[in-house]
Amino acid sequence: MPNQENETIIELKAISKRYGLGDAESYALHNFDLTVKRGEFIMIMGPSGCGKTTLLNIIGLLDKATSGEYKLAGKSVERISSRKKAQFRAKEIGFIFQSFNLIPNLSVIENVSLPLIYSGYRKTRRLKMADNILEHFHLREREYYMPYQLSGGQQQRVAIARSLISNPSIILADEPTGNLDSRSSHIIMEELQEIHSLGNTIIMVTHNPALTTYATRVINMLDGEIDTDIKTVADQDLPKPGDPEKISVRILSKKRPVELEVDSKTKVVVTGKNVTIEDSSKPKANEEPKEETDSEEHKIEVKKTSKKPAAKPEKKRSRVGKILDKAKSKSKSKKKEKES
Amino acid sequence: MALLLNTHFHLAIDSLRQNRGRTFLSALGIAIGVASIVLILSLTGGIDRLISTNSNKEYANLILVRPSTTKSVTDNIIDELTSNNQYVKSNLTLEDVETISKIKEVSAVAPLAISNSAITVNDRVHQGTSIVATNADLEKILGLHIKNGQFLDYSLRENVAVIGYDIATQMFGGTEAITKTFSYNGQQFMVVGVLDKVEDPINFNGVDLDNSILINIKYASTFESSIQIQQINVRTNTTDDVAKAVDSINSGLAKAKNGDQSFELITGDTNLHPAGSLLSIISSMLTLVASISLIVGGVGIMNIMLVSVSERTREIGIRKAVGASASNILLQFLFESIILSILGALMGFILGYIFAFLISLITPFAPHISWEILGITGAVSIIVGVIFGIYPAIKAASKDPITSLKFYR
Repeated sequence: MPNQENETIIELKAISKRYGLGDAESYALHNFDLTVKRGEFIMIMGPSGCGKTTLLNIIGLLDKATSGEYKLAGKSVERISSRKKAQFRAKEIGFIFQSFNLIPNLSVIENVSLPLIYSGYRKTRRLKMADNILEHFHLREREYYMPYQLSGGQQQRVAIARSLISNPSIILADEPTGNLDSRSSHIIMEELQEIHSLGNTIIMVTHNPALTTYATRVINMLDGEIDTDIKTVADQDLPKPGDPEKISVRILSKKRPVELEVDSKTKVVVTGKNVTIEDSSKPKANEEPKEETDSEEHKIEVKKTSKKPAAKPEKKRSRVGKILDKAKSKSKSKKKEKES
Repeated sequence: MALLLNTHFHLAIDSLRQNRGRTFLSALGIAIGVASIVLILSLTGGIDRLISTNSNKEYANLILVRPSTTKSVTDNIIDELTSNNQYVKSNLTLEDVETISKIKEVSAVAPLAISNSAITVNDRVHQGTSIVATNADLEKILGLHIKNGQFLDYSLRENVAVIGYDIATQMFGGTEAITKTFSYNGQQFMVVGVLDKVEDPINFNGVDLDNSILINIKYASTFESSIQIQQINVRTNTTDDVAKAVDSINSGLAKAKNGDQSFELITGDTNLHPAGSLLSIISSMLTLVASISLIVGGVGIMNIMLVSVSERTREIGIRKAVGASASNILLQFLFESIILSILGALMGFILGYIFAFLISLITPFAPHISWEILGITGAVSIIVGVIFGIYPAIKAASKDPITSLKFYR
């Protein structure tokens, strides 16, 4: 596993954003400092009006700071022309919004291919790329649906596909699960985590504390400033695009022990916190796995990630399948409880 | 760049397609403007062509001698056009015709003395028949075709007449009118020839030969005391001789009339001058009025585009967030308005042509749509599209992405 630190991708120094003048003056951001390394999954939390969205807009080059310095990939954005900024948004930044923001009169595939228009791809190429990415999101059969024909979760997955299509280095998500039920939220977070494990940088604003478990860093904001900043993963352990293939497992039920069946020989039981384990042949201490080899009854699906997920046939396992598996495992554990 | 333009073109087409009804209606405004311009220009073009069909070729070596009037001194074209040549007191005489015929560049001379009189056929009186007193040279000068019989001839007896195609039908019930007689001014005339239908009923002679009776001017001068020669048609041997002949006629007539310059010579293109000028004035006036409707159509497009921009504020925000620059948005909306106006222009061409065709069914001429008309109206409507589309497009391009993304319909 390569241990060198990831490069700094975003650097904010004393960023302030002021609204109004004189008596009406108020700061959405006040002397805000932030350094983001490539591969981080940052959750930004905080009460409404604390400047989370403003921060995201400034990072995404949609908004301009009143003062302070913003370096994106080592370059100060102060000197970038608005045309260059637009190009940067098209190629390097992916936006995911709470309200999905799909264009209602474009089909799914056209929505997904939208950023490619502005990076100068031909139509056939655009559609082909969109088709590929939609296949990865299991939305291929809905390519020519209109957005209103999709559920909220599906729409958000389309939006995520759109944000990923030009393979951006930063993904900015503004409460992507805010309009979704818990099941869809979970799916979306799974997607985001998978994207993250490929080495993408994700900055996500959320109100839901339960989601922070996905993040490698949690920032709490208050009145335009950082209140707390907690890194749950050391910088050198952040995923990189070139990381070897690994298997990650996420367990939703944290109350009772859960057993993982990795293969016919290896089984793991986990209690409490999330666990990420490696293939038994190459153990990895990403988080603390507690291994046991007793019961055979709890089956939880095991997810493989690699650099190019779409190319892996085993990735085709549908999300619905995963949910069903999870539901099955829950009901089995209930049964077991009754029996005991 | 070409790829980007192509993409914007397709984006614009797509978004126009999504609002077919609205697209059609806003293009209709332009269509009506273009249709009326095409209609006016094609009709005036048709009339113009009707008049000038032969003038440039067959009439190039033609000189018209007319009595001059005060109106040509004023140079006021409206005056000139609205006054009537026929009733000007003429001082051209048969001697002048004789003088001109002696000039060596001249191959044929035919005086025209036009009057409207009553004639009697089989005791039936036909009022207001146009009688043209002329000579045998007229056939050569105008290139007239004879349907039956022959033209006036110096070898024939004097009291003969050649009648027009329509008047033959009117008076004698057909073109087989040879040897039939009629009386005019107390004299008996015999029909010796019937003219074929002429191609240009509106011409520089100021007379419709289809509805005229041609008689011998020498004979007419014997029973009509003061014969009025309104015009002398002169044909030269070749086109190159025209200038020389004009000089000779000028000097010859001036000499014969003892320095009286009360006549004027008209050559070549100026033959058609009155009709052409009138037409161009009328058609430019009408086109001007019609272009007002084009402007109204343009305002309609602007209105629709403004509505569309405000309706699609959120879309603009999304596009900007995923990487569209201001110029991308500007081009997208500008293309929409240009396409609307081109669509309108195409619809207008078709509508205009249909109207022109329908009108041509009741007029004696066919509408004439030239490539110039199509090109100019097409270009004008594109310009209208740009002018009226640029403001909404700028408005769209300058929208702030953040506020646009918060926009809810």
